[in-house]
Amino acid sequence: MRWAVGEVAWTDDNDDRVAIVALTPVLQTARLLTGSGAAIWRIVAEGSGTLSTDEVTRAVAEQFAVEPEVVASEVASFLEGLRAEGLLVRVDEASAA
Amino acid sequence: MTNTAAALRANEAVELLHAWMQARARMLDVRMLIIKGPGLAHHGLRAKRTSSDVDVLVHPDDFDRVTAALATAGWKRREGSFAADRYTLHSVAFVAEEWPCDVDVHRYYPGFLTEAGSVFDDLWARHETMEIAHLDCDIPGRLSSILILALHSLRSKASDPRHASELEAMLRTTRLDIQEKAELAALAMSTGSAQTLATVLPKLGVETPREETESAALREWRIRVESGATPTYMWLTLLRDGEHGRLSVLRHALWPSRADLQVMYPGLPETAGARFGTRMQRFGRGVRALPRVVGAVVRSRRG
Repeated sequence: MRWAVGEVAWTDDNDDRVAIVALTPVLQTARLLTGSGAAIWRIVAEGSGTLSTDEVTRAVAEQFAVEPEVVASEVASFLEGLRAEGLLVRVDEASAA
Repeated sequence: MTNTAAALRANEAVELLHAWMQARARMLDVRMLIIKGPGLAHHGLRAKRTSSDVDVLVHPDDFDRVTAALATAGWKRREGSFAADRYTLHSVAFVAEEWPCDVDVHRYYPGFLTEAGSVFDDLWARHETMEIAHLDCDIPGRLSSILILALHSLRSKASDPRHASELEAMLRTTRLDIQEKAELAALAMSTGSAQTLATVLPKLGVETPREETESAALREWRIRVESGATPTYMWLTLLRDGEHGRLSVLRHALWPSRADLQVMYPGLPETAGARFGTRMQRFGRGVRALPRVVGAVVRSRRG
């Protein structure tokens, strides 16, 4: 199970913020991510569909200098939340679609 | 896990909307060019700055389809004043809830005097892509962008010092080789902007043949450039055209309705005194601008 950015446009201030909008026919409210949320987004985007949940978790843990198990459940639920909003996709889903 | 609901910044909103509009046009299978804004900075023609809105140009045949799609997507036409609704024919502005900038959809671009569909085809034939908000977006090529920036700046430089300085900066910093000069001359001729930009192109080393006769559209352009984007010019144009009932135009010009005042001055207090004071100030500004506008009309007719 690998993660990738969905059909979205997104900006990155290269500091603390990522702003995202889904490229749906009806304009949605933009989603703002800051702090660790923005960091997770960048990790997934740079991974370009190659990173699993465990790999994203390890990258986040490394970036914030904590043990992976400390952030594992939060990272997983964050990824699933963005998937439910249509902002991230699982690569196996994207290729099936 | 931080996830904030903080307000979207203007630059974020503008970038995201450029990309969303591009994606929407592709869904509709419509050719659309993102004009002004980030493309000008991309070509080095203007300093990078956050645009206040999103400007797009579509083929006139696609205009209704694009604007209908925006309405379906939850966008609303920006409420305009009596005069603006009747005068601004080249574009329609849309607003969306929670988004701090407009989207202006252009069916043609003022100053290109050739038939609008042909102009769009010429610009599209030279279009390029640039990444905006991580999406490849279609923008006019560099030479097309020079024409658009020059027309945009000329049209309102008399009343907006920023546009005048942007034009000066572009002329100061832009260098064209021989082939580019020839291509720019050809593009200006084919799009009908050689004469509207007759004061600009020679400063870029671009020579185009001068036309012997002045068309009505060219005369109108010259009056507009000399008058600046003043409301007085807009009112006089509506009065002269006579298409909207001269008495009605005159009444709105001299004594704008309460609704018009709210559109023109969004922060105006809802009191009779504030409305009266604003109407009188506005009248004074109109009277002061009148000589320049009338002078431009007279000079144009003599010329």
